[in-house]
Amino acid sequence: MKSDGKSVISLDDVLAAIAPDGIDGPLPPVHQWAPQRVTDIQMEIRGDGSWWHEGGRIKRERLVKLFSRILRKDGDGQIYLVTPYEKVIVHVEDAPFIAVRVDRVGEPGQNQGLAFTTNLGEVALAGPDLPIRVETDPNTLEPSPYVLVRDGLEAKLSRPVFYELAEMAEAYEGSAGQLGVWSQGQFFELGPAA
Amino acid sequence: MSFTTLEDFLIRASDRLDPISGAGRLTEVGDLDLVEVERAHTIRPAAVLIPVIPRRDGPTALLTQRPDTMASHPGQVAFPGGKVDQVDVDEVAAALREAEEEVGVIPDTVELIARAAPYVTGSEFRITPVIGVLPPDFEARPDPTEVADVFEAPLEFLFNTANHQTGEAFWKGKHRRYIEMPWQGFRIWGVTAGIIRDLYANLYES
Repeated sequence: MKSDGKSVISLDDVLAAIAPDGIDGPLPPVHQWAPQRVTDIQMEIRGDGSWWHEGGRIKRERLVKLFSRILRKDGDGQIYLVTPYEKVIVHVEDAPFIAVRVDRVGEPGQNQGLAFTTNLGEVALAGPDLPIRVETDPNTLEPSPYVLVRDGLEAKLSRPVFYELAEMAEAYEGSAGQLGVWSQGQFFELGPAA
Repeated sequence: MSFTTLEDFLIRASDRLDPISGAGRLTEVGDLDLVEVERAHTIRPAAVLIPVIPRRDGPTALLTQRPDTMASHPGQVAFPGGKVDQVDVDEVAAALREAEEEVGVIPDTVELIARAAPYVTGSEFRITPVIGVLPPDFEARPDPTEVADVFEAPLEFLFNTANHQTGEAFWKGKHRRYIEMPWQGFRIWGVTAGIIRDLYANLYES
């Protein structure tokens, strides 16, 4: 196929191919709900993205997906499950999602898109609104990469995804020795060139 | 143990009940002793939707009052539902179809969670209760030919034994215990109270 710009399939097509189930309709309007009651029922999301309740793993993926749709991060930095009546505290060990796959969409270059798929099948197209960031542990220098999925809720990039990203990494004049990746016209630093 | 939060309720339902599709492992409950052995083969499959609504004042379950003119269980409080028809692929489809016809539930907007234990009635139905979450702003559109009234009762009320009044009555040659949950003038009893009580036992007692 000739890459003359026209042969590139549209972003929507690519996203549809990555997430064939689509997202189950629009997300519930969690931002319109202002419940006063806050409850802690020992809900946790562990570092590997698994969901737990009172120390037992929630095995049904469908239920986890349902809950993930009512996640909200509030101004206090705490993540909750939100319904009109109450907020349930979610103890998040690292990030609420894990990015398990990355796809480069569109023509390679500054305007390419990096589409991250989460462990729960949600797709986040990195860009100015959904940035990629890398935190470095000051002691171990171990990098922790994240991509924003929605509303303050991030996905931690799984190791294979981060390696894949590192392979795409490049420097450019303005990047001051930092290697990074482009997505939707935005440069995201991954770390210093070795 | 009784109802705490909607999330906890849904996790329990998903963990302890049967999945929405596939084989069920829960054993039948209900008024099995009222069905004569030689009539067991005439038991007809039926289904109800237990429609959970996450309201601002707390999650509720939607219930109906059947018209006095109905052939079976007239005047009783019931979850929306009915017989499994030839058009229904399974009990879940029947519960959704009936809920759509009776109170205007839109099947696509229902988050299906689990199937509770089939409840065999003295009237020879085998009712599969299906738990589904409706949108928080759900507005019932009752069909007056199938439903005389619609109301909601809080899950916090229904799934708390303090509100399960037990009584005893002499019926069909036996003293029988029954359960009743009076809610704001509605009398939740019979099959519906039995379904709720059994669901309570599965979710909160074991």
